[in-house]
Amino acid sequence: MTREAAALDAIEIEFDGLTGQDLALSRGDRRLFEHLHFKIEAGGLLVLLGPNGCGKSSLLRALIGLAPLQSGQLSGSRSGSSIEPDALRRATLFQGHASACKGELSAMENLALSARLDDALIDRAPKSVLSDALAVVGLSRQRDIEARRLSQGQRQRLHLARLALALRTQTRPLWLMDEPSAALDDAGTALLLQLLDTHLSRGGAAIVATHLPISTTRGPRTVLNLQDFAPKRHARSVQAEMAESACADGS
Amino acid sequence: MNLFRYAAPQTFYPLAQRLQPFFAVAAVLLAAAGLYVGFGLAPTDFQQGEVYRIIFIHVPAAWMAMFIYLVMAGYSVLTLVWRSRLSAMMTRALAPTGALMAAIALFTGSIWGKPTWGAWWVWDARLTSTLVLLFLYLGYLALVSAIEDTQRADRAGALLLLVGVVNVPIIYFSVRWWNTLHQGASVSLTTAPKMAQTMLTGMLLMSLAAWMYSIATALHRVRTLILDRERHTRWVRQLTR
Amino acid sequence: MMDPSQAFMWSLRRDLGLALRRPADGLNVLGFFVLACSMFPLAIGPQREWLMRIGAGAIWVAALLAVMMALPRLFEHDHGDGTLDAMVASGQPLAAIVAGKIMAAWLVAGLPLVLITPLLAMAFSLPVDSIPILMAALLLGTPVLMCIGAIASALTLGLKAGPTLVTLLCLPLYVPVLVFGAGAVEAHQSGLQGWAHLALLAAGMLLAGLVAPFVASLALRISVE
Repeated sequence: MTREAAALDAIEIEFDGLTGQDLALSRGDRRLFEHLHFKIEAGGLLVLLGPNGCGKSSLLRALIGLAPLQSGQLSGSRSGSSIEPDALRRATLFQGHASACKGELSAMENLALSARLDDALIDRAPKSVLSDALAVVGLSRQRDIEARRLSQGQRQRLHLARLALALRTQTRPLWLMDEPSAALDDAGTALLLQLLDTHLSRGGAAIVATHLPISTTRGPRTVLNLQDFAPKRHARSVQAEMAESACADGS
Repeated sequence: MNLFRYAAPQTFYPLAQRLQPFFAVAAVLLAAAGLYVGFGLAPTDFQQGEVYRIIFIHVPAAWMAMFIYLVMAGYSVLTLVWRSRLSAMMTRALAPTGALMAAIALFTGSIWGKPTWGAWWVWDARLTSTLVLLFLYLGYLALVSAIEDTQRADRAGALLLLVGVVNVPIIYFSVRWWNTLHQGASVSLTTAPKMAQTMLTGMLLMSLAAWMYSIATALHRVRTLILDRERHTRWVRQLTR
Repeated sequence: MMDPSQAFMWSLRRDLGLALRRPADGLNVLGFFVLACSMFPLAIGPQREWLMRIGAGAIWVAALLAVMMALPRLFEHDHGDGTLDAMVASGQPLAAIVAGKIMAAWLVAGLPLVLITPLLAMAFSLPVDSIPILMAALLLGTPVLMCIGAIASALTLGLKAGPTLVTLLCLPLYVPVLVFGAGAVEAHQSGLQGWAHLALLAAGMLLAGLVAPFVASLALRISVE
């Protein structure tokens, strides 16, 4: 990825789009996927499907630099030029597998910290803003409870509160979500889809990895199954080797 | 001739294979010459007797330990800035030899110290610095072997080396200060009255021998590393069939 | 996007707040420091002349080891619960965030050591006029130890052999700080001024404080990739 900052301003104010070309990623010795292409634009939703271990999480992490891409290029679609990694990070809100909250701090304190990190709050935001966000996701009563005492579902709702706050300021137009509906009940899932809808309708974009198909939303929607990009050559050559050694033994 | 061609493991491998014997032979010849000069030709030192001859091993080893560290640091810059895979492999290939040189320098320094100062170890500035250098090598080796992901290991090791190389002059300076403050013994040969010409020649020959040896072993190790890391590529599979 | 000073304050307040919720960590380091110092008289004997001779050095070695004990807390907890990933992924100034963490760690684990030094100095029968210079040396030196330790911690993030490896990586780099830090007191005790030593330590602190956050954040990026 080159260091041209041409797409920087465009990304910060409005999201033009992100294109990935010929992406490849390996985990240790195993190549997870290669020759992967994708394109996402403002208002668009890209769904990553595939079973566990096929590279959905790794791709999301690679997009913000938490995993190394073996090859390929990410570029902004309007300018067409490469994006500086930090510029992309600043335009992205990433929610990974891990709960990403401190067990010793309360739900509200955790929310305050992550919101600041997301630029969703300026310094010393009023408590009311945080309380409102927690109320929206149904965590009002858990406001001052230490995060380690929350259930998995409640922690997932804390993630939703983070999204709700991010919607207020729209500083992060691209959302990357890894299994966001895990541990959520029906009400929680409905809320997630609602937040996603609002985000997309305002011109944001989202790339969501899930091994369950999520049905939602209007707007342009692309589905990418990572299994389609798994390396096939390797499987073939292993078979060829086995055939060869069988012949050699037989002769 | 485009030298950058050889930055790819695939093209470097056969080159390393061809060059290695030359360096190995050169090392043996130079060592033989150096040892002959050092142990045969050079005159007996009137202060220290025959024992001083150990410097023909001690000094070249100490020089090489330092020099190899600098070369590794150079490769580390290439690894971090240009993500050069071969540079990372060369760093790893050189490390054990560098550590060995430091260890030899310490061991021979100790042997020299005993008859001269009556102690198996002297906290001399240079010996202490060499000890710290050995620990820097061991730290690097420990770090790269503790990290399973090769790319992370390469880059982490490279960063560690660069931090180390910046600190080496600081460490050396501080140890010298500490030593002079406490008026410790000094094993420095350069402060001794003029060295005989033959002694210098002997040390030079041994230094070159150590250099050739280091290159030969590094080439050998890097070839093994290349085969291991590139084992999924077609050219390696064909080679090992 | 936060500017570096905002990111620094965010990180500093966060880590200090977390440390307050877990006071045991800071107290452990302090306890270790006192215990380690106590080992020396037990090993060498209670003669005052000997203790006076090795006192500054022993206190310095103990401080060095105690600071290393605080290092795992710097990044490992955040790495474990995913908050470190969140910090890297946010695109906020990572070096400033790391600087905030180092500062918080020093305030919790380094500064208390400096403050308790007078008591330990008396335990070693150090002359009273040596105490200020010992404290000054530790005040300037412990941040450097923390900075170097942060780099080593970041490089060994998530490794099983982590803490032992950190020790091996840090100790060679700690040599200059130890030499000048303990040497300052020694110089003072011999009648020379310790100012040169303190000046060098101060220079080291400025250099480490400026450079280490960047190097450590690079090491973090290498480790979380």
